[in-house]
Amino acid sequence: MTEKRLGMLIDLSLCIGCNACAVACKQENGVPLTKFNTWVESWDVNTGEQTRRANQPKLCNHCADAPCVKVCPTGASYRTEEGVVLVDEEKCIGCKYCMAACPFQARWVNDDTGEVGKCTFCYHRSSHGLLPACVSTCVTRARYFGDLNDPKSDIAKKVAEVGSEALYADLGLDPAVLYVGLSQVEGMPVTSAIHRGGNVVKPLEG
Amino acid sequence: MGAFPGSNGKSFQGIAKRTLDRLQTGECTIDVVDPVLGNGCVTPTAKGITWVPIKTATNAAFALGIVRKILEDKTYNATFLSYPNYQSAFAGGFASYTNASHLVIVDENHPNYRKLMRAADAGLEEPPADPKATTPVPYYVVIDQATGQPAIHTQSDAAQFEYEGEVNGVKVRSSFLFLKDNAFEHTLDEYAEITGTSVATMERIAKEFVSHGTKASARLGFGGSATANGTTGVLAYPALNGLIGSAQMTGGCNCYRIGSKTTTDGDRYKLATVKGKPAVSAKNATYICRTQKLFSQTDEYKARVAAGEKDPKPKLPWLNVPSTSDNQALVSIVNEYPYQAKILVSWMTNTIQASSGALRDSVIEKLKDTSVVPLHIACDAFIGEHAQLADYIVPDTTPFESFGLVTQEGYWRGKGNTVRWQAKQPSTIELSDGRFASFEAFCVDVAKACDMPGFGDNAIEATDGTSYPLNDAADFFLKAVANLAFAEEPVADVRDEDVKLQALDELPAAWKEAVTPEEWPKVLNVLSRGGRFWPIETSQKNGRSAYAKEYLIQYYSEKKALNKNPYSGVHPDAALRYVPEDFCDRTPIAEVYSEQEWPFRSTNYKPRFRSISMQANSPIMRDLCEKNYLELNLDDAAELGIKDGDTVRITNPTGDVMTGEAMVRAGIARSTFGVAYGYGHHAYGAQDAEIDGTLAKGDPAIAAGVHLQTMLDPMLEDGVIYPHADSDAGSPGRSGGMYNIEKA
Repeated sequence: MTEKRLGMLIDLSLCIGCNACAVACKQENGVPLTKFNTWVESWDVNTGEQTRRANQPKLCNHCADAPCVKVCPTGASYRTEEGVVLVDEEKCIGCKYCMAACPFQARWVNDDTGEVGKCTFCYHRSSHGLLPACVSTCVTRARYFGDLNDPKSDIAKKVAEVGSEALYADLGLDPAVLYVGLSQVEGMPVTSAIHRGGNVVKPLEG
Repeated sequence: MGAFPGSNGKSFQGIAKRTLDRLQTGECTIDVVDPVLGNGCVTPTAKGITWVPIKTATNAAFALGIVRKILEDKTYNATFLSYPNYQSAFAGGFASYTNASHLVIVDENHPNYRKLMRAADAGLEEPPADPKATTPVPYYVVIDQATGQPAIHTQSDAAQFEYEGEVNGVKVRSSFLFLKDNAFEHTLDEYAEITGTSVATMERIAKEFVSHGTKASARLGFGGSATANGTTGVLAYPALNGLIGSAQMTGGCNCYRIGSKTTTDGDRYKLATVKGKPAVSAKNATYICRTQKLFSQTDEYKARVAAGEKDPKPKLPWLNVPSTSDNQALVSIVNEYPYQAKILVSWMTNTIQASSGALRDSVIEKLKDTSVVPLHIACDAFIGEHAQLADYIVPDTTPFESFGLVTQEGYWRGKGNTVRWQAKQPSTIELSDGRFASFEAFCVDVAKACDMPGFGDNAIEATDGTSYPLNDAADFFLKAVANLAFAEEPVADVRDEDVKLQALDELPAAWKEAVTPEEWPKVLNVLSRGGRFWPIETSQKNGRSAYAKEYLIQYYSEKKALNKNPYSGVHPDAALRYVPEDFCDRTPIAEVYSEQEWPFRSTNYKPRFRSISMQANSPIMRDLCEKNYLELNLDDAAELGIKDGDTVRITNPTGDVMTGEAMVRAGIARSTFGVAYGYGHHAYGAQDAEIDGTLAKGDPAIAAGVHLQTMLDPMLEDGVIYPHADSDAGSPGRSGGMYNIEKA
């Protein structure tokens, strides 16, 4: 029997950028203001025929070969049996090596305690068979969640049916967060600033 | 048009979910005609959805381009258009009818010129009056298709809708011809130029729209009506649906907002009946917002004419189209017309923030002036821009601390009412009798002090004749829930599991006492479900909504036709026509101010992270989005030398100045700028406030962003403050107008 691998699949054709996931996550996990475990980036694209609005949810990718775990000097960052990357706050010394190592910029530091926080796949829920808050609240059911290694799970069936792509696949980190339509969207020229929620993270060049 | 699935609408969630589900399976295609590309269902890889960037305030022109194409190709449903009454249309399988075939008197010398022809005008005998009818039934005249002779509209099964000639010696034309004239006023090329879209787009949509029988629908948007020519845009939707007969049809423009009787006279309690209620209505009184009447129907007009004045002009426009209007009430109050508001009681409202053009010093000064508004009491949970100008603020409950019964909102074809009930004890002060401060408690106490009927002991009558008191919110709303629980077939009693799971046995004793022991378990059942919803399978019948009622689409509106403008004497168009934005005397705004000097229009749209006047106090919402932007098209920005992130200054002919950060993007139509509303607060927590001697410091982050300031109407007498509005409906000219943009 293969080991369990919790993962998420996000269909970019279905994400409307409403940010309900970001709000649900903040409320469920008590994420401090200005920090986000999950967020949505939005921008205008040119499809060749018309202008459309892209929305890309992002979060910790819970990599199998997680660089944040590798660089952690105290063992505070670790992977669970289900493949979820977590931070043991007791062991975290706030050195922020993990933040520098993460190519997804998914980690943040708590300004009050100095400890590093991140998405846990709502481990307090998902380890009891519940969906993470962002998945259960998603208005358009753009996020799938479950055991990628169980061929009978909804997420595994969806991956088998439509395929999937990972962010920065060339880094070989084996992320557990996958997308539908990623390269198609990434291939479209960007025709506005990129917003995170409603705040600019990358102005339009030119 | 004017609504963006996945970006806004009621309910936003339901629309977003179902739209994407059906697009994915190829069950539907959608064109979203909107000046701004919102975050929504137009995602890069969604199938079957197209964003059509339209120039702001030209919705009617776009619709008429489609209408013209359908008329040219004769692809409309001629059978449907020839039904002159509901009964014959219903027998033909439809659920609506039009007045396309009804004749209009076009003889300028006839006393009923511009009116729809009545039986008497045609020398036809009216059927005997129905003894049960409470109001006189009008009998219109059509040309019967079979006989070619004039007939009363209820006595013909099919009538000609393109008739022009004489009846009883009177020159007449059928209503449909007025639409046809207006549609052919411009070529498709001209409509493409006016709207900033293309002939190919209008032709494609026209072809698609008529290719599915009654299973196509043009839907009423929300923002589309908030322009100074919004009424014409609103008329576009029924005009299009009337060409295919899709109103109230399954898969077409289905019925929605269907609910049961709750806070009115219902199955258990007569909640709308007040014994001894003063007989005040629009018939013998006048709304301060000047609605439901033409100026010529007012006492003022009659008095001024009697005094010898010729063609008197009102201080502010009168609006016979809407029932009421909050932004126009505000305008009336600050201008003390048609009468002074000696006591202003406002509840849960922030009109000066919510009405574009009203958040200005001149309006604020008037509201502060005790000679203009001698007493202003606001009841609110928040101290917004409006409430902070009040003499007294009565604390109110929030939605989590109060009751509400509403009809299920949104494009949902079923029947049901949602119930909101106190989820927590109110945080307002507790009164000496155990009630909490709230709008309801305030109303009851003031009414009792003034000896008003309908409050206190024996205020509410049950349908069995028993009387009940009304002293607090629960006394009223639990009875409304009982009305809902007993509508048609009463619901079952609540199950013990639900009582235990939801701790319903811990609800306040006053709730149980508000209804009978028989009603209480059924009331609990409804509370436990958050409302009552009828089975969706029963919502449709024989291709129609089961809730379909007689429904008329007017291609010629007599009400509009007779709405002579008192300032200029101009009669507005009775049929859908593209009319550029105008001022209150119907002078086009482009004739008053130069389009070269003021080349931009505004598109003021619903924000993702705020509401119209609220949410800026939410730290999470501010975290997600600290401010709004002034959104500019790539090409417009390039011409102006503006880059993304630059600070830009926007001005209008009234002298208003707005400064904000530019967001340069492809996702906005040319010649407009987008700005989400709900930002740029002055109060609502942005200001310092002293409450009972304690200073609450304001948070400047709440004030971030730009509040759109629309221009004032310059066509009224000096000193009158009248933000630019639609001349028929009085809705604020939120989108459109005239602006100049420059790099700051």
